[in-house]
Amino acid sequence: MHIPDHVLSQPVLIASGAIALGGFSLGLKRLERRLRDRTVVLMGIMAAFVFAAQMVNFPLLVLPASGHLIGGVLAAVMLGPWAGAVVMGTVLLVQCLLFADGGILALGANFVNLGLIASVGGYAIYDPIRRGVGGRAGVMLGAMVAAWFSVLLASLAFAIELAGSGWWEQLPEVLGWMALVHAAIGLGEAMITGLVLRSVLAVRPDLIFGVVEQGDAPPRWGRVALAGLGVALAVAAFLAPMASPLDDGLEFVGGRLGFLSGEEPAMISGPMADYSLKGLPDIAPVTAAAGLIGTVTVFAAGWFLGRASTGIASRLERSPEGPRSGGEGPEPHAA
Amino acid sequence: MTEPLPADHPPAAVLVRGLTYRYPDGREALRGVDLEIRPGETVALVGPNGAGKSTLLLHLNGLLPGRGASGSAPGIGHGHDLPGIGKGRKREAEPSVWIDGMPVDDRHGPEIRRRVGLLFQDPDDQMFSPTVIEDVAFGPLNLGRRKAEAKRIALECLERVDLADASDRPPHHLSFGERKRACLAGVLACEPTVLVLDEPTANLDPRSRRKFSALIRSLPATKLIATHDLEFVLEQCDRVALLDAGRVVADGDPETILGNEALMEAHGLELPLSMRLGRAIS
Amino acid sequence: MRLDWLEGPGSAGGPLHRLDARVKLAAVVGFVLAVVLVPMGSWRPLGIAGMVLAGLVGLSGVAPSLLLRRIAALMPVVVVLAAVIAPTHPKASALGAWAVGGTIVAKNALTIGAILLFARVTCFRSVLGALSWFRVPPALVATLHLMYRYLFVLSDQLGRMARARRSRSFRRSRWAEWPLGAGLIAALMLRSFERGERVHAAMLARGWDGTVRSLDGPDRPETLPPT
Repeated sequence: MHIPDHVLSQPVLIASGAIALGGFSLGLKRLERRLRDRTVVLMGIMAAFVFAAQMVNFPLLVLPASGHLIGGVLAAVMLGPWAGAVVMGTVLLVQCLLFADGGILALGANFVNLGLIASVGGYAIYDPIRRGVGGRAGVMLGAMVAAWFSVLLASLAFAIELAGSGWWEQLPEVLGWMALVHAAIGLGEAMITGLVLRSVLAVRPDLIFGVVEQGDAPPRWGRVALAGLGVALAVAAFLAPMASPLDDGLEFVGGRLGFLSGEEPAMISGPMADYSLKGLPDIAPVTAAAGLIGTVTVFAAGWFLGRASTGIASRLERSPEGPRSGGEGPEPHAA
Repeated sequence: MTEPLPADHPPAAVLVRGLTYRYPDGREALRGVDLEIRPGETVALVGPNGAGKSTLLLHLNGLLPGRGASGSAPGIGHGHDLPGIGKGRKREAEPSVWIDGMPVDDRHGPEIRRRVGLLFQDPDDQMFSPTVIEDVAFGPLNLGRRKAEAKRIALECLERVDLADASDRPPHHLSFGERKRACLAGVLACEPTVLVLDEPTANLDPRSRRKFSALIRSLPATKLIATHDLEFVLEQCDRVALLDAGRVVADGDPETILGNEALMEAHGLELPLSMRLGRAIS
Repeated sequence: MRLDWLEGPGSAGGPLHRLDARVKLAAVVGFVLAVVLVPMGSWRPLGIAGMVLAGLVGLSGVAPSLLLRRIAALMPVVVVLAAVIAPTHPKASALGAWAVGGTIVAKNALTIGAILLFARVTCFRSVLGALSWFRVPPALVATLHLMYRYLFVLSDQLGRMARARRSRSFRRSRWAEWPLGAGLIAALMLRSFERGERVHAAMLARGWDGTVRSLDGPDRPETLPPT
């Protein structure tokens, strides 16, 4: 989902760059106070971790391609929203400067989508759910739902940026297709995030940001409102195509689909994207169904994994901790 | 413990009295450790895995309890706490570790860290800078040296560990043994009076081990060395403290302690090979 | 993924390698900006930019095939995006969709080539030096330094863990790869956190007080520790 240069128009580049710069500075400012504690060190190492974790490939079950974790929500859950965003920004900067993955001028837009929206926005969805549900199940459910939405919202932001660059008229359809494909991609992200957090919860639940100090205090209303906004946006995205019947014909659909599935060969797609390819030209019901199925699946999977991890945790003796020596080899915490 | 300073003069280089520490999960890591090291002495700390050796070493320069309180105070605000180092920070009412007669507490933190050089077991934990020279100069720069001076000190220390030609290389281009020596250079650059070494000879091939061992022997500082390498202990330590289950269970000269088969077996250790061979022959 | 080349060329550097990283960073950003400002369908400026880039590649001694391969790997995304944008682009009616799409692809190829060339002739450490000279906040530069340092450590660690896992897993189901991969990531993350704790302890042990100091550049009084 790294946007190259020369795809977005200059006003969009400038606007997203300004938002990104503001968001990034705000994030750094919030972290400056904590410069002396571990956070800066952890951010550097977490950035390296996210980079390395993106190298782990997950085979798609139907397609001969593979996807990988994006990690925005995972970083936010572990480090907090702003540190998570800065970590993602750091990763994006390195990917852009060293691998030409994502444009230099589009760095702002990429940071808005994959840093601010994924980490800060994702955290705003995660936190109320975690507090509302409580305990380990809350962490799992919140993180998985947030991971799903983060992918969805990031893709919608990309759609809006594209549309802002020249085709406002097509916005509803673009949104619809984006939502459809990324609902499936987001399932992959949610599954990986959930599976990773399940392992973390089983061994070092104390590492999760905010769980220790804040406990399960009731959510603040601002965050609830933000989460609500995110959900509403996503729902709107699913419903949008219904409002505008498709009239461009199959050629347009083919182009869009090619664009959407070809855009990121390295990302997770899923059975639903494949299904819709087989010839349901009418996008609206499919998108809505995908959204519905996606939401239900993520909630169900989150609930299931959350319950399962509670069981695991109670069975598992907490591993001896303390400053551990850096032994290598097969890791001790089997997942 | 009321009065830490014993009558002898000068004060002990390292004095530990009744040191206790709990991991964040409540497990006791150290339960009343007593240890005293005179200036210039080389003391080995032996014991099975999980005996609390590394935990004890981290206490010697205040990296465990009270560490965070000198600067930001994680726990307040949204600092997020990791166990192991940050947490379980129950402030002891009074200090239980003294370095050169100076209590290890928040007020003396910077001075303590200057005096106590800590060599970690995994060189990758300790070499975080992009080049070897930057890493060695990290300590001097933090101690307020000018850049030119810090660079000179760093080069000198690299010379001492025979790595002067590697100064501009990135750490991951060094072999394990070289990284280990570079870490030692970084520690020496802070000019510590007490050297605390965690498993200095672990994972080294025989030649690197010999080289590193000779290097350690050549250093004049007071040394406390946690190790499983019993031959190394016999070669160069004046004394051995045997730590198990968070307590010093034996303290004495290496031949006596390491030669006590019953004691060694009881604490998950064994006689050094040279001693076993010696006994088999005689 | 091989990351060795990030270290720079070693002794085999050409004239571009020796150039100050600040100049190169400014030049590459300037090049990208210049290419962005070229209007749709103006082939002449793009051709000139291409020749400049080709000349620089020749001067640098970087193997063109290497750059071309990497550019080719990144191009499918660009081509697909261009194919989508071109027909509805405001300029498409005047210039034709092919011209617009071609311009988008050509522009991206040029900038990707320029960035890749920059990455090849500039070792990452000097990029970071340049960034801090351009007043990028020290906290970010420190984060980048640490990230870069531990990128190698963690990717090695990941490789070892992946091998260890593979040697113990006997199922060949695509489903099974998911928990396996997630477990790998979780283990890597836990180790990264624990590594972070130890690195932080090691930094404190050598007198770190939260101020980032470097051997480069002149002495600055504000970075001296309070006495």
